[in-house]
Amino acid sequence: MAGKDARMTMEAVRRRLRLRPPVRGRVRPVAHDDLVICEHCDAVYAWRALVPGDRARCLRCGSLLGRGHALTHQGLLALSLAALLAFAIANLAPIVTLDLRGIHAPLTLPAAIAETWRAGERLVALLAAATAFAFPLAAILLRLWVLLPLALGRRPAGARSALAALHIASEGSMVEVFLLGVLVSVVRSAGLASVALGPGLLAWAALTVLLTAMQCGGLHALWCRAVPLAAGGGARVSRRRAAPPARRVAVPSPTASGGGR
Amino acid sequence: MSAPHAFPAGLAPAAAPAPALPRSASELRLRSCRHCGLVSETAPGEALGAGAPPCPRCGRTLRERKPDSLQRTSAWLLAAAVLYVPANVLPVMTTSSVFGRFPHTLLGGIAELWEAGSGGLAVIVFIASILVPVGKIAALALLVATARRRSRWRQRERTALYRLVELVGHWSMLDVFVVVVLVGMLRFGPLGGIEPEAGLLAFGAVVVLTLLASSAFDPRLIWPEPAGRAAEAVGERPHG
Repeated sequence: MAGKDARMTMEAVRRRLRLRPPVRGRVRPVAHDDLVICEHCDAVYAWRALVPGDRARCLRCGSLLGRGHALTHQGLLALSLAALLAFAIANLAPIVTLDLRGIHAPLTLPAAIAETWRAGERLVALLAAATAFAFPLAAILLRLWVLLPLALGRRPAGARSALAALHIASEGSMVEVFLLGVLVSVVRSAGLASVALGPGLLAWAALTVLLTAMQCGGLHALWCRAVPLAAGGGARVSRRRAAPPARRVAVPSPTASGGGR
Repeated sequence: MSAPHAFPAGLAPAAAPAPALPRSASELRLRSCRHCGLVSETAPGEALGAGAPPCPRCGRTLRERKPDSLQRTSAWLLAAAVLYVPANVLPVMTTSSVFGRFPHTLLGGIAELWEAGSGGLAVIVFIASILVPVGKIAALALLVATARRRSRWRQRERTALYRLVELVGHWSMLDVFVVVVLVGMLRFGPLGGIEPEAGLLAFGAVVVLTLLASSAFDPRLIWPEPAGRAAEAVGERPHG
């Protein structure tokens, strides 16, 4: 990990100083944004627009190459704002309140994490804090960071780092698992005390739905919009086309549920 | 939404003849970026390991394969398998009440749910905390073993198995959340409470380690190149 980071920094320095790469005669890779490669079996396909409801599957291994998404960036922005609101309610309002002979114990996620930390299982508390709190929050905020400037017609600052971090945050977010965990816990404690459901539970359910809707389209369209290849953004690329892709690239037939992305 | 780089309607793939099987990227010297998905064409004889070129869009290293995929996956898997023993033997939590203190293990919790009459929930917890971790370790071990032999056995099904592992992987966090929520929910001081125990840490570690294992595995190794190119790319010689 450290080695890779160091090399990236060197790469950034070289770019800034406009130095040539150290290896003589090395050619920069040429971007082909009209192709897509199956990440599971390395098969190459040509791009094609998908309408909502379409699914493009790899002919060789059957993996999903892309799916038509009904949401525009404006729609995603609206969902992200709603998700931020739901996240705030979900963490501030009690999820459930237990009542044992007049003693009330409201449950919120931050309180549960703090209690686990105090009880001595600090690594578990950190794990829960990362997957149910930090990653989902980061996923929402980073998406807003990229989508808000795009909606205003500007290029988001630091879009490449933001999108890379968004990818990690989306992978690490486990909101839906936490919601199921709450339901299991409620059932398990139902015999011990009386349980009253709170507004936080509804907010967690809403957050689960919103995050799933935001993430199912993938990040590809966002990469294309936020970091366009032609307009610099740190990437100076000669965009020659080596060969007409349709000739040397197999393309899924339109009958096979869709096409390229 | 429509991708901005789609073909014009006249050139749409619909007009192309029905293809046989698609060609592979390494054959065409193409690489897709792991981070942003952009496809790039590399120069002939481009470095495969260290010193690989940066992606034109996001600037990260354009690797042909995940580095040392099989070794890393095996290492994470072995660690997960070892920690799976304390995760099941040690208690994950202790309930304390006026009647005394009782330790609970993972399996014990499932049995409690079952006896309390929540059969459906018991099945869900059983799937998430027993079936998913064990199944994941077994499935990834199978994938590593077959990829090491560069096997061509049931490649499509093995890829589907990998997709399943990726899909269900994080659900085994369920039990960690259940205990954390119970700890936060049942705090009545001297009247009763729940404390997390060391078994929970071991189980959480198993979940994280299996997630790392599945992300270290490169499913493209299920589809080895006819020539020795792919083996060269991951820095491994075929075992003789």
